[in-house]
Amino acid sequence: MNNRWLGEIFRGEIRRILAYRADFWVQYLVNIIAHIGVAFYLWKAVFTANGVTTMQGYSFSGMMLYYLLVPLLGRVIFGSELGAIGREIYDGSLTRYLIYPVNYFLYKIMQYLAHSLIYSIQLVTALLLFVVLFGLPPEITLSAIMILIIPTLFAAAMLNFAITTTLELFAFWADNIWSLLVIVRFSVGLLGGGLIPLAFFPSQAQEILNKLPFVYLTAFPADLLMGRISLSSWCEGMVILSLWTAIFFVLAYKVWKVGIRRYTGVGI
Amino acid sequence: MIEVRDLSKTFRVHRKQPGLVNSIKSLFHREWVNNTALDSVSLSIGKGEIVGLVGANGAGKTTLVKILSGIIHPDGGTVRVMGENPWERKNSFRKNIALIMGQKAQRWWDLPAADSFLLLREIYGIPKDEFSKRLNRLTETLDITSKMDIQLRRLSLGERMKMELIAALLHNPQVVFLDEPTIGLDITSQRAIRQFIADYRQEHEPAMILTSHYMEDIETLCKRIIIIREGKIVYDGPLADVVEKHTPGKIITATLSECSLTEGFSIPSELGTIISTDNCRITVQVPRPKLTSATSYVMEHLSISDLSIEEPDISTIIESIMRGHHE
Repeated sequence: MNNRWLGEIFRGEIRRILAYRADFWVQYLVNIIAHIGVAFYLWKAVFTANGVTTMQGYSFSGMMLYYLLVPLLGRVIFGSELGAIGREIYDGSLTRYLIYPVNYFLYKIMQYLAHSLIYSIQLVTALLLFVVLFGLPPEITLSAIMILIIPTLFAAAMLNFAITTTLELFAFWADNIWSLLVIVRFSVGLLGGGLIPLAFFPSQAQEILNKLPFVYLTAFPADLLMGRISLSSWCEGMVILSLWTAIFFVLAYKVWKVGIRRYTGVGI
Repeated sequence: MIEVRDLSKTFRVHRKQPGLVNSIKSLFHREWVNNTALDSVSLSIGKGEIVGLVGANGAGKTTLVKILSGIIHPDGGTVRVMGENPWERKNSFRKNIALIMGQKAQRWWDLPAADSFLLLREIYGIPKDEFSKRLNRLTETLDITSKMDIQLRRLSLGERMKMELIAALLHNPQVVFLDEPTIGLDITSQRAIRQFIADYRQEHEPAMILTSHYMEDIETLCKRIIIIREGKIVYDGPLADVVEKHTPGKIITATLSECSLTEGFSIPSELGTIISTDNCRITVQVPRPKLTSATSYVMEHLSISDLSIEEPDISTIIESIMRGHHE
């Protein structure tokens, strides 16, 4: 089977994203400013009130870097827009994929990865800018292990794709699945260390959270870049991450098999 | 190419009475109704045949097309398209079909047509030189070469439809489903698209199903039509025979030399029936075998300045079959 179409979809999607340049940069800036802005005032107050220079191993500038990393990594991992598959089922545009001699999931993954790639470029430029402006936070030393961020991000993107796809496929039954997706996104923020770094959770809670998928979509890659993860715990994390990914892909496939029989292609 | 036996499909939809109170009620209890979209439909379509599928809105045309192209799952009966079950959606099946739906653009909205054609080349695995040869032919025939690098959503409706057709036919499908290909288009575009479809059939001999609300589409392209009403096939046969089978005869219209002469005129019932009279004109429906005698009867008994003999209008006949006035 000729698989060159995968590359063409990937390139096509990149062209599509770049076709809306204004939207692209506005989203990028708003996302970062909102995140850093809130974090800056909150943690400034916390650090001053406690009269300390580090908390749970984070310096103030390290903390700011963490809050820069979370949304930027999030964009890479969360790939294409939330709810797209659900909407395609709802409005009937799924039909066109059913006609083409291609695998729908592969098609969607390629589109997803195209978004991830573009956001990775944003990630790198923002990090460079941070380092140039503020320097490296004192607790971070660059090390070779950080290069593992590439496979980590890829795996995390696949996990998130599998989870959201499974949920979005419920659009075969329910007209609107937005609330489901919001619950998941919120859980990822709260239980994955997006709102507060994991180090601030009690250690038992951390242990449980490390077994759940959410951490791998947020804190895990961020902590890797901040040099807080050893090679052995990275390997352990990747095993858990891969297991969850496999589970959700199987689930997504099962839900698809049952759900597609209910598809009526309304709207077209 | 297409074989369908006893195909049925029922949709379950929930019903909600209008109003806020009923909206709240439906949060707790939903009323479901079954809609029969197709009721033991059987048909068979061969290579090179264009069949016009005609029916009122909601008669089941689109459902049939969607089942034949593998988009929706049938409830009962067997369907074979090129020997395969469409529902399995094997790549070998999908590589040889095309579905064109006029109501909605199916392609990549934000990309210029040229880009989406490239994508299709990879999806269908069309060799490069073959691809550019076909693409050039198609764009030239439809006279749209200059619009290739404009975003699809910026094109006019007619231009977009032409792009849709090209996109759907680039891979030389053997089975083509055309659902309202000319809807909303101006006369010139309609004509161009009709001509294009006719040429494609000539060259590639696919099996085609065409649904359209424009009788002109059907009349120019289809020799055979299938009329579907409330999920059942009520007529399947040559377009030309529809008129013969479903109308009792020809129509004679006589224009009189003096307008008042219609008063008191009658025609023996074995020769025909008067459909309408106004002062200067009289219209009589006549059984085919009686045409000559009826005509001479009219000419003998009335003084006329003009006489015409016509077949009843085909779209009127089909419409009346569609609505169930002809049994």
